[in-house]
Amino acid sequence: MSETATLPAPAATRPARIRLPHPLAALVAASLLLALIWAFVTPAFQSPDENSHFGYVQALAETGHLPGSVTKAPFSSEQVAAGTASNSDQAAAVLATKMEWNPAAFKAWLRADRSHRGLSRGDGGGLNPAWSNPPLYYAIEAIPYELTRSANLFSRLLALRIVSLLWLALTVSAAWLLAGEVFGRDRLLQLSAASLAGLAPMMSFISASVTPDSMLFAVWGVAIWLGTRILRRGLTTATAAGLFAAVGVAIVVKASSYALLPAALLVLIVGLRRSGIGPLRPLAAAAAGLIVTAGAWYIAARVAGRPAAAQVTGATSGPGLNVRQLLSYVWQFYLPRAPFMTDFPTIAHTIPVYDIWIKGAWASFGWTEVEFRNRVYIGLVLVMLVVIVAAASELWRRRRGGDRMLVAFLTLVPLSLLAGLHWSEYHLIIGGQSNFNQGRYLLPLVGIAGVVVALALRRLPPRWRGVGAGVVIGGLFALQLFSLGLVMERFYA
Amino acid sequence: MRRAVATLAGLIVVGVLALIVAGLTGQTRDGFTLGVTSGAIAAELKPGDVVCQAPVRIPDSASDFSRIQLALGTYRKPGPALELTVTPIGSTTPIAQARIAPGYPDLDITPTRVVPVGPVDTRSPLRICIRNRGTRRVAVMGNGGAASRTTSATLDGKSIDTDLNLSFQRASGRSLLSLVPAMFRRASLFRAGWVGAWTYVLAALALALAVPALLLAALRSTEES
Repeated sequence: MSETATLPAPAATRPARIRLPHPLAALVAASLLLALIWAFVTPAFQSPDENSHFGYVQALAETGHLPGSVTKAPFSSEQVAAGTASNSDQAAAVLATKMEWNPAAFKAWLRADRSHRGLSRGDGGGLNPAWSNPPLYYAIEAIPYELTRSANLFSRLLALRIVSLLWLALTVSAAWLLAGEVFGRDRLLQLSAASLAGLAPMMSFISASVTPDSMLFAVWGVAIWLGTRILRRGLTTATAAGLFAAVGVAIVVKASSYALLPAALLVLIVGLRRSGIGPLRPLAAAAAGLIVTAGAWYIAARVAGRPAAAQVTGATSGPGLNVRQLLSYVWQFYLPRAPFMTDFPTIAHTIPVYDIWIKGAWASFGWTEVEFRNRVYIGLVLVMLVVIVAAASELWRRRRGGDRMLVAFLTLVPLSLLAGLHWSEYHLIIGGQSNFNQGRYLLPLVGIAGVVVALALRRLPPRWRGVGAGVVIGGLFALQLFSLGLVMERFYA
Repeated sequence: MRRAVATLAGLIVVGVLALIVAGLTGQTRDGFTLGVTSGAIAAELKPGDVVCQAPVRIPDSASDFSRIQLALGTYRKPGPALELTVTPIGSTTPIAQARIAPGYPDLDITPTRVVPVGPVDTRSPLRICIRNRGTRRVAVMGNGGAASRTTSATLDGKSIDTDLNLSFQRASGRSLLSLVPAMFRRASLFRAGWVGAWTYVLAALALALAVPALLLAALRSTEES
């Protein structure tokens, strides 16, 4: 018998008024404030590929066309001039290089910008590194661009960052809702789970940059919450449509979101089996949800002659699969190389799981060149191990009453993402390219990570859970403080 | 719940204090840098040759310097004597100079050398020159000509398409905390026109007061809701 049968039915027959719980409201406000601070602290174009994402928005807003024209420059003349004057191109990823500090240089740029305004914004739109991305995030970002059209480039960049960081409110709320579905109405556990999404420094840093990742975190959060909700409360036509629409929207934000499909299909199958209702309407609703989102983009991309999922097709068009080699690559990503294995090239200094996943997901700012000393990450690894062991112990303790399908769903989502990322990186490496993976690619899983944290807290005796939540929130806040200090020192000291 | 709130408040206070202590104890001598790394030989100086980088401007009042850091390759032999001069452009009289004694080791032993030249605080553009006063060749390290977009290098007066790896340091270290006003001014450049150092003062206050207040409110209200 499934867990859903034992869950209470929705209490009210009429729609309840939506009221934001106070802890969530305060956490969202704190998260947005932190992200806003990051938007001001991070120098122009000093987050991964922000110059490319800005260039995409600018090309779309200025010309009405998606970028990718082979006859155009990757960036507009205006952006190139701003990058040169601020030294942002030179400072990117090079610790020894700072942004321009001379106030006279900024004044000179302002004067030159005023005299050239409007002449050189539309000549970008070429093959910049983001050109093949799906357009949804960029189309939304074109709105603040239009609204601040009369302002200088750096003002427009700030407006884009501010709109981008608003997605964090949805990411945090989705993590809260997810924890609510898993643990019931336990505000302390919900707050602890959502804190990870709102207060982890990389979440603030990336969300406060111009990058589709900010929207990606939010849409993945919603999809994972909806999948969990279906498993807990049962499948309806509306939730089936909602789940697959969320997956489709995620695909139109970033092609790596195809990794959500296996878990969404699992939810659909389990939901249909548990609900006992006819499969036709939920299946039609799910298909409709996917078709009006990802399907619409697929057709539009085909008509326009653009790749619909360049990240996926690009990673599979290289040399063929060698299973032993693939296994060797995955082994060497997570474990020290065994003597009989061929060395797989990597940019990691130690083991990639540490250098790429852990460092990159916790604190790797700028163009990933700004990192803490090693001992900070070793400390974080130890904390993670404690949390994972406590969460696993709690899961084991409650194994009899638990919903195995929910555990399977929340496990399949990260596994699918990891499989997709490793598949892509393996093909790129054997094709002669360097490492592709970045720690921030794991951040769409922050809602699930929050559930793990909350599970660990539930392992504590009830009277100590509040203290545990205080430690989680206080620890994340302290990490925020030092992360902001680190970035200030790197760029301005 | 009181214990939980007290724990969070304690951690917040400890975090803020720890950051202040780190700012007080963390020292830096860095004044400013041209941002050029040692990617290649920027200039090979035969005896008597002189390589210069200009125009070098001290960017702001917190960037005065007394020492210059550079990278020298000696081809696996003891390095020759060098003369380093700092001269305002348009003048022939150096305002600071130093001599590097011969016999210094190669890059693999000493990747960079720091040369005390005396205090320099002028806002005039400067020419930084290195003359080979010895009898052996020496390589001055740097990178391609695009590395420093506002300055360029010349060898014996002729333009070369490279830049020298030069960094400018203060005589003694300053705490990071004492640099905060300068950091706020620097952070406010190349932003929206209305952003100033005051914006970062507000951000610091929000970080130290508003965010903790919201987090404490969030934790406290879990009990009420």
